[in-house]
Parts: sequence; C-alpha cells; structure tokens
Amino acid sequence: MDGKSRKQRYETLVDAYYQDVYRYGFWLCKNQALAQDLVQETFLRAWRSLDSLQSDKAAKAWLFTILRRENARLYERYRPELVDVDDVSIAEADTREPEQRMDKTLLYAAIDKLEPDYRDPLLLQVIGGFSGKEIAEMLDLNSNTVMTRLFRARSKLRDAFLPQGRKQEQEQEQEQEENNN
Amino acid sequence: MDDLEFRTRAFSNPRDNDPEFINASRSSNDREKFMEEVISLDDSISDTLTAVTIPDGLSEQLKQQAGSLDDTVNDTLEDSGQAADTIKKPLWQPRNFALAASLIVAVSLGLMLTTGNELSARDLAFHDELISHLYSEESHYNDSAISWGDITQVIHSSGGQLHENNALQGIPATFANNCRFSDSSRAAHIVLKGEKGPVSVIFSSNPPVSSIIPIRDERFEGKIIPLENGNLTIVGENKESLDNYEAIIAESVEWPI
Repeated sequence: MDGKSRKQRYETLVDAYYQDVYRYGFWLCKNQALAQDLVQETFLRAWRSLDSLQSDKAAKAWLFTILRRENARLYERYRPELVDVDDVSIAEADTREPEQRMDKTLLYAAIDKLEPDYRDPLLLQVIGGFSGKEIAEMLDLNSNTVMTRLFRARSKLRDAFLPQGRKQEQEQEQEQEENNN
Repeated sequence: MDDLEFRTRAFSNPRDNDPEFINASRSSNDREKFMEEVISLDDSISDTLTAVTIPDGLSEQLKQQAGSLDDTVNDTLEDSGQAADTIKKPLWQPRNFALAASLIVAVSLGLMLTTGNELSARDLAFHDELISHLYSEESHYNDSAISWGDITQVIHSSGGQLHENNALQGIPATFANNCRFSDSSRAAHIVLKGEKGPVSVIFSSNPPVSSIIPIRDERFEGKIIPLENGNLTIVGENKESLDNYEAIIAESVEWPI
C-alpha cells in the first residue's frame, strides 16, 4: 500500500470511529484531558500498525482494544481524582425537561458506581455496538460470563435508577406474585 | 422460553434480534410491558453514555499527528529513494536533526543543580512512582532500534525539542512514548541502549523536585534532576555510567514545559 492510500485509509478510520473511541476512553478514565490523550495515543499506535489490520470490518474492535490496553498501561495504576458528577462533560445541548436531566445525572452516577467488571461489557455493548461474542473476545472472557455481567449491569442500573415509588410498587408486585405461588 | 431465561436475555441484550426471543417478548402482556421498561431503561443508558462532549478539532488533530510522522518518513524516503513500505529508518541521521532543529525553539534546558534541600513527601512519592513506572514499562521496550520519527513525535508532543548533536548519533534508542504520572503531568520517556542495559531518559512536567534525588533501587541507579518547570530523570541498570548521557541530553534537548 503506498503512502497516500495508507493515509487515506487511516483518515477514513478516524472519521468513522474517533467519536465512539473518545466516548469509550472518557468512560474508562472519566477525565476529558486523559481521554483525549488516550485517543491520541490509540490512533498513533493504529497509524503505526495500520498494515497489520487485515480487514476494515475489524477496525472498530481493534481500536477499542488498543485504547483499553493503553488505559490499563497508562492510567489504571495511577488514576487521578475522579471528576465530580456535576462536572461531567455531558453534552450541553440538552434541552430536556429538568426532571429528565435529573434522571440523566442519576443514571450517570449509577453507571459511574458500577464495578468495572459490569461496566466494561456494558460500555462495549452500548457505545461500541459489539455483540456478546465480540465483547468476550475483547475482554478474554467466555460469552456466558459476558452475558451474565451485562444482565447484572442493567439490573443494578434499574435498581438504582427506578424512582423510589416505582421500586416499592415493583417489590409489592413481586411479593404478591410470591404469595400467589 | 421460561420467564427466567426471558428476563435474563432481556437484560443482557434488550436489542436481541433472535426470532425466538422476539416471539417470547410478544407472548404475553406482562412480557410486552416488561420489555417496554427495559428498552426505556436502555435508551436512557445509551443517551447517557453517548452524551459525552467530543473535543472540538479532535478529528483534525488525529489526522495531523499521523501526518507529521508521515512527513518525517517522506523526507527520508526522498533522500534514499526507497519505497515507503520497505524502508527501516536509521536513527540519528544528520538530516533529521536539521529537521528537528527547524521546529519550535523554546526555552533552553537549564539544569538547576540545587543540592542539599530536604526532600518532601511529594519528592519521595515521585521517586517511587518513577521506579514503578520503569518496572511496568520495560516489557514494552523493543529489541531493535526504533525510528527517529517515533522519538521526534514523542519529544515534540510533550513540548520538548531535540537539537543536532553528533554524540547522540551513535546511541540507538529502543523505546519512545508519552507517559503520564499520577498528578496528570505529561512525560516523554525515551530508552537508549546502555552498556549494562536500557537507559531511560524521562522528561516530566510535574513540579520540580526539591533537589537532585539519587534513584534508590535494588536494580536501577540514576538521578532525578529538577529543571525550571519539570524534572529530568536519567536512570539505568546498576553500574551503568550515566554521566555521559546526562551531558549529551543537557546539550541536546530543549524542554520548555
């Protein structure tokens, strides 16, 4: 591949994936500056190793894996203070009602509190759009474990996110079901 | 599909397109209602995870950083006439130094040879972190020499600049990377081939240590030298002669941080 085609291929990858890669990086380190560094390092490594990428279909998983490794290498051991939920870089163009914005903040906090074992597969599934099998390969887990973790992640978020009244209502429904049985 | 399996699959992947799952989700009013709730939750999760502001100009920045490496490679290719995909760039070419020297000229390196100050807890923490960093990074060092483009990129992106220096031309480098320490300070980590093993040269933009700190470790020896606005660390295996490296680096590097 000549230099021009190589560069063109790289730029196509940047255009297609930089936003999702940044989002994933942000949720891994929860710091805008670190996330930006991670993304730069990820694409720099991608550029250097571009010839080893056999198929562009695998590019997204490849980039996410590079970023994940970079995060582990650079920041997991020396994690700076996490940002406060109020300072989080959620898009400002949120024109929704205050109640809905509050829900979003609550959900952010709930996702933030998820253990990494549960949060990681969720990020890969929702931000990356990867299947359970792809996530299993990326995290070096078996598919059943991934699906169990995804189940638990959503269960925990539902429990944290559901309005208290609805939660009580749901508990009452469950009790009712148990009594009926 | 029983309720337990149905609910497990719904929470694992609410967007599951498997016909068996879709049929199961439509098999009763309760399940339909349940799926509505799960999908609604999933929409909220998706909205939250993707509502991260993307920094302005990030895409262009990513393209430019590859472009700057590409330009360096092309300069060498023009000289040699070799194909881009096959060439292995030699290190420390005089032309590359000229190129590097033509880039930003910033505040020159000034070693603050302050000694005798008492070390603070922060100094000691940085010392320990450096040692941990050296151990954690060594698996990434290459066996063979890396390209000048890599080194230029690392120094350049950390805000420093290398000058032409004949003494450097004979020293192969096996690793160059931007690192970050716990206080979020940027650092450029270059590894040169020493007589006893790898010699790490690390420029970091964290607050200068109180005075020159000797590296204390069973395996490594070297020192952390405070600069005007950062630190220079030179460290190698035990009994490596480091004075020469220190002199060469001090003559060759500009570090504005």
